[in-house]
Amino acid sequence: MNLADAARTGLVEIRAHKARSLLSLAAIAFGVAAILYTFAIANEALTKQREAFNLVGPGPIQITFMQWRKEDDKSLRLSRGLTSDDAESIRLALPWVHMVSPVLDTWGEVRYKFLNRWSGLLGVTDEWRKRNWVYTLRGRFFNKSDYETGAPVCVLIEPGGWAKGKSAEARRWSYYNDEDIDGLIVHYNLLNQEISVNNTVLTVVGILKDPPKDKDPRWFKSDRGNNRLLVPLTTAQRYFNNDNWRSDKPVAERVSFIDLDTGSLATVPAATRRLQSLLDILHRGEKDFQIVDLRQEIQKKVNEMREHALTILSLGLLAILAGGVGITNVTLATVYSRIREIGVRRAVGATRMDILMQFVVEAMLLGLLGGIAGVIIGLGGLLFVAEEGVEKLGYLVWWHYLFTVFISVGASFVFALYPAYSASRLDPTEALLYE
Amino acid sequence: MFDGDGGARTTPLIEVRRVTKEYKTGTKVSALSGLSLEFHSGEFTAIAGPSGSGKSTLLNLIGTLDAPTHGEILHQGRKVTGLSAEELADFRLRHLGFIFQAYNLIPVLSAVENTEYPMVLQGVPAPERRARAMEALRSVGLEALAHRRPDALSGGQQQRVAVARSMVHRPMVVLADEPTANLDSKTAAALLDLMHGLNTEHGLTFIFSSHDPAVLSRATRVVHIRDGRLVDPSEAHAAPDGVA
Repeated sequence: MNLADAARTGLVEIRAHKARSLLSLAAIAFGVAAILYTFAIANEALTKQREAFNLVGPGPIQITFMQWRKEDDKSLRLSRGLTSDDAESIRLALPWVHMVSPVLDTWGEVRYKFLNRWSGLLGVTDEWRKRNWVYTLRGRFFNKSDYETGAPVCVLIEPGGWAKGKSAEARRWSYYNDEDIDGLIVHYNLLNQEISVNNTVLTVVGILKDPPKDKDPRWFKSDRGNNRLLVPLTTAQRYFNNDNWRSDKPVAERVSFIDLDTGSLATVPAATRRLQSLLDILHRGEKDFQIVDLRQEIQKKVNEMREHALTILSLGLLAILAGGVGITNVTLATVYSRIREIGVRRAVGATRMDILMQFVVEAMLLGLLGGIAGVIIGLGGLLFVAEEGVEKLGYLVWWHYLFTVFISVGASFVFALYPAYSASRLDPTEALLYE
Repeated sequence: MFDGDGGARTTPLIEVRRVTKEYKTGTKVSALSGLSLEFHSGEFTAIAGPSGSGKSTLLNLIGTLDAPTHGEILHQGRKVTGLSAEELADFRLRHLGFIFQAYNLIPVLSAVENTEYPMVLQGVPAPERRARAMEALRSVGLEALAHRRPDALSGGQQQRVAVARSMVHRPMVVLADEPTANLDSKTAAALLDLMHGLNTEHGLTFIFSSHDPAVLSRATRVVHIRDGRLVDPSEAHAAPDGVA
């Protein structure tokens, strides 16, 4: 018997025993769907990692200020904390560094007409534009004069909404909250208007628009969307230096962190060592700063995604295993219910290999159908169940579908071998007498 | 050796030589005891005997479905005892046809698919095997029901499909184990007419078992066995549950 005839007979058998076939097919299908989802997540992790690395630059480092906790404050107050002077010193000591961007991260109460809202506020320099620039700009950004004079100007960041407005998350949450600063920025055209922030009047000189949230390549940043207000660093230090760590003796040049880009991945370790020594001197031995390799941070997030993918993969493999055991069970049941038929086939001239092939091919066909059903269920699940499904679908490529179906067919083959072998070893005379 | 009509002819089609078949089910049971027999091409032979006499065992041994404990069986002078399972399967496929008491059609296949099954195993191309299967069904008068499954056919019709399946690949002999036992007398007679017609018109050799006198009366040769041994027809007549 050739393969085509075995397949044809297999299809006839599957059709003739619909309920039984459907049950074993279902378990396989769910496993395949889970594996497909794993592929989507794994590929998403890789793609996002690539995008993120491109975005943060080739040698990203961040120096953050580490304030002592009150209960274990061992500071001798020898250091002034992280300041814009540190940034200047770094610039002088490491002139080859591509970017040195000191940022003051604070908050403010925004008032416009009768409305007041709270917002995160960043005091930045022009260097800030060298990292994570994902915006479209209306109006202008800060100029040299704004930075030098600490001009009372600001740039607002408008939420980007959703590229696919019908995604589950967008339906559940409005893409911005009317009651907070987002609503104010979205509903009012504030360009060239005056707003009050902590009772300081600022002119809105520009509005940056975020990319759509589901397309935002800054997925690895947990604070995106919190800060809607940008002001020149000097302005922030002058007017909004309100959360100062040394309330007894405020540091006017205070910054919250300094973003750096060494320009290449190879120079990151050397730069980190030099920064460490430099800041040790500048901070007079006080360990009130931390140097973070941002690539490691991104890698950490990617690893989290991979772990998630691995969990789903193991669940998928378990489902396939359960489906496989189901196939063994169903094939065994099929063999027992068809013992007499096997006897007839053997009597008419079917070899043991013919019988083995017939049951294996039948199971593999079930695996194939289960695989195809799994792909459909997986796609359906991604579209309608998973929150980020629409986005995740984009991370699936043709060979993912093919491979999952292949796994399903392969598992069916392995799990059908034993029952098929048992069938092929049946004695024809005994099989013919079987009632 | 007792033989129905006892005529010795040229090289026998099938030769059964001192065959013994024993089963071990706790105690040793002898189904056939040193039986020797010859069958010739073109015969329409009945094996007669009461239930448990060894008819089915003999047919299974001739049909290579089972192996004798002692003795040997030759088909066209070739010894088949001792062949491997795969060689025997191939031998059955090429040279033998089977008809069973319980029809034994494959339930999920239609009449024509059941008929072409031996040719599927032989690897005959699909169009040719379909044409030959339809031809075989036509010869048993079931062309119109070719696409029905066994559960949509009567017992007699199913057995006709079985006859078509047994002869479609042009075997040298068709072995039929009580082919009419499950049929009413009218249908049984029609089936025998059909088998006899195939024997006379196409020269197809039939060996079938039965204990029905009406069936046996149609055979051109009757072999009587009892307790695994050949018996003289006169003894068979005398047997209380024997055949007429």
